[in-house]
Amino acid sequence: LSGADGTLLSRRRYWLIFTALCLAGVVLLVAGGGALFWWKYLKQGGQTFADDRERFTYGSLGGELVAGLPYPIFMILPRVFPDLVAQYATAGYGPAKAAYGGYGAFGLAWEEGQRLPAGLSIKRLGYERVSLNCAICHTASYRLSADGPPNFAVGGPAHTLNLQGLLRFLFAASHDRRFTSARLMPEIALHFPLDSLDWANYSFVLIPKTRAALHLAEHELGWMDKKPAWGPGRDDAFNLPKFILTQTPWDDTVGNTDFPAIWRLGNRSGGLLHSAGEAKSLYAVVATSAVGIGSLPLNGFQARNEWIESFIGKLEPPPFPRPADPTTSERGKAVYAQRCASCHAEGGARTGTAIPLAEIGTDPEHVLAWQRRDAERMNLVTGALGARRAEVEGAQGGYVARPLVGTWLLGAYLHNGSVPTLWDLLSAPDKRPAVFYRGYDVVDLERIGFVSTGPAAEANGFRFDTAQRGNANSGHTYGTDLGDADKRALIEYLKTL
Amino acid sequence: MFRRIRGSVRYCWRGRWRAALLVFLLLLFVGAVLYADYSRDSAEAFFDDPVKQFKYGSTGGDRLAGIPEGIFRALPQLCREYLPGDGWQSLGFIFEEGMDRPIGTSRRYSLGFERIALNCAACHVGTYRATPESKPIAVPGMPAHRLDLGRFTQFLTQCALDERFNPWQVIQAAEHAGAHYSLRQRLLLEYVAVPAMKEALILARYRFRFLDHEVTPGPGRFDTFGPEKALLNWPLEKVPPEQSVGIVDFPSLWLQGPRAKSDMHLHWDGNNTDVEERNRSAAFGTGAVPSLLDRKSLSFIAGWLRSDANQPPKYPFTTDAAAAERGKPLYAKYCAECHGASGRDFSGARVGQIEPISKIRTDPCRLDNYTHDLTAEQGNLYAAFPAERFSHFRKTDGYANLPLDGIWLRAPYLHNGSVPTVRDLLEPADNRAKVFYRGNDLVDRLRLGFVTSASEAGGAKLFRYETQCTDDPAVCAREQNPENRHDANVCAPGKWAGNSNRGHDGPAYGTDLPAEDKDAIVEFLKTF
Repeated sequence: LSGADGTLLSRRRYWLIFTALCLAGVVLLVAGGGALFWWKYLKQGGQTFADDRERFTYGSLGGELVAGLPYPIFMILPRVFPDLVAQYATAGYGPAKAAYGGYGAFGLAWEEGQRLPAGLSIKRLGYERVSLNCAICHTASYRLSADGPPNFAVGGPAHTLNLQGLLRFLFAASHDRRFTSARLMPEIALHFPLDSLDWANYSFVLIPKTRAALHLAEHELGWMDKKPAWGPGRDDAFNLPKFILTQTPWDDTVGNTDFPAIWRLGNRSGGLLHSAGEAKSLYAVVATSAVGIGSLPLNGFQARNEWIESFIGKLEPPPFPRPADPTTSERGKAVYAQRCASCHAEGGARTGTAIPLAEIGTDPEHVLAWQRRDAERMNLVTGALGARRAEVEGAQGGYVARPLVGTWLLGAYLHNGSVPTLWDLLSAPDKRPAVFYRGYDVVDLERIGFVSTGPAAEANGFRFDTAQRGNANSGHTYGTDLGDADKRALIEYLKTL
Repeated sequence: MFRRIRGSVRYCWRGRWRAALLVFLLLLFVGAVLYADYSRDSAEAFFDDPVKQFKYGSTGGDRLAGIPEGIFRALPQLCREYLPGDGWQSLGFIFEEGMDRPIGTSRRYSLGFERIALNCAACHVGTYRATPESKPIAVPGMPAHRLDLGRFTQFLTQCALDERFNPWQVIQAAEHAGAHYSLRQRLLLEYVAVPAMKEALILARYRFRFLDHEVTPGPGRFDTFGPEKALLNWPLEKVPPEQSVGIVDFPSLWLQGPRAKSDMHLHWDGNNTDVEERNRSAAFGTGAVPSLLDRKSLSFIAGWLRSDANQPPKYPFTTDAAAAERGKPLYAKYCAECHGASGRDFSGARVGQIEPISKIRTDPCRLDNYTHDLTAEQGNLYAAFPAERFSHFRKTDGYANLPLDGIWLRAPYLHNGSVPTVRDLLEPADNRAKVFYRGNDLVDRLRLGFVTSASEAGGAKLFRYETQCTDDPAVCAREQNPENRHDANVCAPGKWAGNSNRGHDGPAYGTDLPAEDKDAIVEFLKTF
C-alpha cells in the first residue's frame, strides 16, 4: 500500500486500515447473518379472515413464537407415523374407534375445506408455524344421528378432543427413529417446494429443533403419566400452569376438568369464572389462557385478548335443533324457577358464586389442586412477563354455579364431566352410571347430553370410570327428588336454554 | 528414460498445487456434468395438438412414478407370466399406429433417464368396435373400460418382488427391448435406480393394500380415492369395514365446459363442484403431487377438456328414427329432470345435483368410502399453494345426477358399472344380469352398451363380474351377505360389497314401463 505521495504507509496506518476492514467484514457478516435469521425465523406474515368466527377459530393467539411447530413438519407427522396415530388416538377407547391418518383421529373439529382443524392457527414467523388458540378446546363437534354429518359449534366444549392422546402421539413420534430429516424431508418435499436453503434449514435446524422442543414439552408434561387419564373433552386445567409455567414441584393433585363452553360470557361480569372461581374477570381468563398456550405479553397481546373477550362476550350457542314441546316446557320452566334458578339463572341470587364443597358434594379434587399460593405464584410469573390485569385466584372452596347457556351441548355434566346426561344428573348419585363412554359425538336428544351407552358408544367412545380419582359423580343432588314427569318437563325446558 | 521419469516426478512435485487444482477442477467439471444431467427435466409435449397432449402429455407424475423407459418396455417380457397375455395390451392398454408407447403414458427425461408414467388418458380413452372383425376405434374422453388398472398395479408389485427383478437382469431385459445405456446410466441403474424402484414398488404394494380389502376391480374400474389415502398413509386396518370399498367405473371426460359452467357436482358422489380441483385430485392417481405437478401441461389439457372440441362421437350406426321419436317424450317425462334435456343440452332442475342415497338406493359402498375425515384432510394436500388448495370437497349423502352425453360409450352403467346395458338399467333390479363379462369393446346395438355375454373376445379371457353370489344356494348360504343387499343404504361388508346392481329402480325410473317404451327410450338415447 502506498500513500498519495508514493511513500509506503506507516506500519500503524496499515494496521489501522486492516483492522477497520476486518471489523467492517465482521459487521457485514453479522448484519447479513442477522438479516438471514430474521428472514428465515422471524419475518412475520399476516392472517386474513372472512369474518370474526373464522378469526376466532383459525386466528393466532400469539403462541407461535414460543410454542409453534413448523407447519410442514406438523402436517406430515401422521402419515409418517400412522401406527402411532392408531395407537394413541384409540388408547382407552372402544374397539371400533376409527383412526384415520390425520389429526381428525384425535377428535379435533375439522371443517371441510380448511387446512387444519379448528383451534390450530397457521402463521408465518419466518416459516409457517402451527399454534393453538382458544377454539381447540372450545369448538364442539356433534352429530344429530349416527349417520348424520358433523356439525361444529364455535365456543362449545370440545368434548371429542383427545388432547392427551394428541400430545402423547407427538411425543412418541419425537422419540421414534423415523423422526429424522432423511425420513421427513422427502415427505415434506411432496407438498412443499423447497429451495436448497430451505432444505438445509429444515434438515439441519427445524427438524432437530422440533424434535428437541417435543422432548422438552414431554419432560414438562411428565406428571401426566402419574395421574388418571384426561380422556376426551378434558384436561388438567390448573396443574398445567402450576407445573409448567410456574415450575412448582410436581404434587399428587388431580385437577381433571371438562372444557367449558364460552358462550355469552359478557353477562358474567362481577361473578366468579372458571370451575372453582379461579378468576374474577373475563379478561384475566383470556390473558392467562393465552399465556398458557405460549403467547408472550408482547406487542398486540392486550388488543388481541380484548378482541377475544368481546367476541366470546356475546357468542351464542346454536339453538336446540328440534322444536321443544311448549306445554311441557312451560311446566318445566316452573320447576326450573323453583329448583334451579337461584343458582343457574342469570341474575340468580347465588349465580356466579362458589357453592362450598360441603354443600355441593361434587368431586373435590379440582378445588384441592389449586391453592391460593399457586395463584400467587402464577400472578408473580405473569406479572413478571408483563401481562396486566391477569390476576388469578386460588380455588374458592367450591364450584361456581354457572348460568346455563346452550345446556344441550354441555354433556357430560358437572365440572369433571362425570355425569353423561341431564337425566342422569337428575338421578340420585348411586343411580348415575359408574362407567360410561365419552367422546362419541352423537347427541342424546332425549336425555340430553351425548350418547354414552349402547354398542355404538362403547365401540367408539372412551371408557370413563367414575371410580378414578377426580372422576367422582357424587353431589349436585338438586332435583333428584322430583317425579319423572317433572324431570322430563325440566329437561324439555333446559333444551331451550 | 529413468531420468525422464525423475524429471516428470520432480515437475509434479514442484507443481503439486497446480496438479491438485487441476484434479479439483476436473472433479468439479465431472460433478457438474453429472448434476446437470441428473437435474435435467423435460417432458415430451405436443402443444400443437391438444388431443395428443391429452393422450401422451405429462401430468408431472412421471417425476415421481416414472419408470425408466427401457425397463417399462422390458417388464412385460421380464415378468410375462404375471400378465394375462402378451405385452401391455393384454391389460387393456391401447397402442396407436406411429406411437411407441400406449395411450395414457407420458415420457419425461427426469433423474437421469427417459421415464414413462401414466397420465389422465390411461383411464379416460376407450375403444369400441362395430363388429368382432373390425379394428377398435380409440375415443379420447371415453372411459377406458378395458384397462385393468388393478391388475396393472398387481403386476408391477409382483414383478418387483420377483427374483428376476435385480439390476443385472432388468438391465439385460431393457437392452433386449432396445435400450442403449451409457456406462454412467448403467451404473446409475445398477446401484440406484433399479434398487430404488424395487423399494418404491414394495412400499406401493403396502400402501395400496386397500385393494386387498375389496372386491377385484377388473377392467374399467378402480378405487379412486384409495391413492389419496395411500398418500396420506392411513392406518387402513383402523378404518371401519363399511368404509373400505371404493371401487367405481372410470367416468367419461367429455364436455367439461358446460359442467363447470353450471357448477355441477363432479365425481360419482358429487363431492366437488370445481373442475380444476377435480383435475388436480385425479392427478394424484398418476403420482402428480403438488411439488411435482406439471402445471403447464395440465392446464393445457384442462383447457382442452373444457373446450367445445371435447365432445363424444355421434352414434355411428343406424337408428330407428320413429322409435327414437317415440322415446323422446318418454325420456322427457322420466329422465330429463335429472339427466338433462338431451346429450348436449344439460338443462334440468336436478342435473348435476345430488340424489340422496335413500332415494336412489344404488350400491352405497363408494359413498361410505369417501368420508368427512378424508374431505377434511384433502384441504392439506396443496397447503403450500394457496391458489390451488382444495377447498370445495364436501362429504355428500348420495350420488350425483350426471348428464348422458355419449351414453352409448359409457357402459356398463351406474357408478360401479354393475349394469351391463341401458336396456338392463331400465329393468327392475331383480331382472338385471347377476353375472356378466366386462372388457369387450364390441358395441351391443340392441340393448345399448357393450356385448357382455361372451366370456372371451379375440382369444383373450374377459373379466367375470358378479353382482352377488351366483354359486349353489348351499355355498352362498355360507357367505356373508351373499345377495349383496344394502337395505339400510349403508355398505354391508361381504365378498361382493361394492358390486351391487340394485337401485335406480322403480316407477319413477321407468323400470315398470312396457318393453316397447323401454326400447324407444334406448333408441332415443342413441342420439346422445
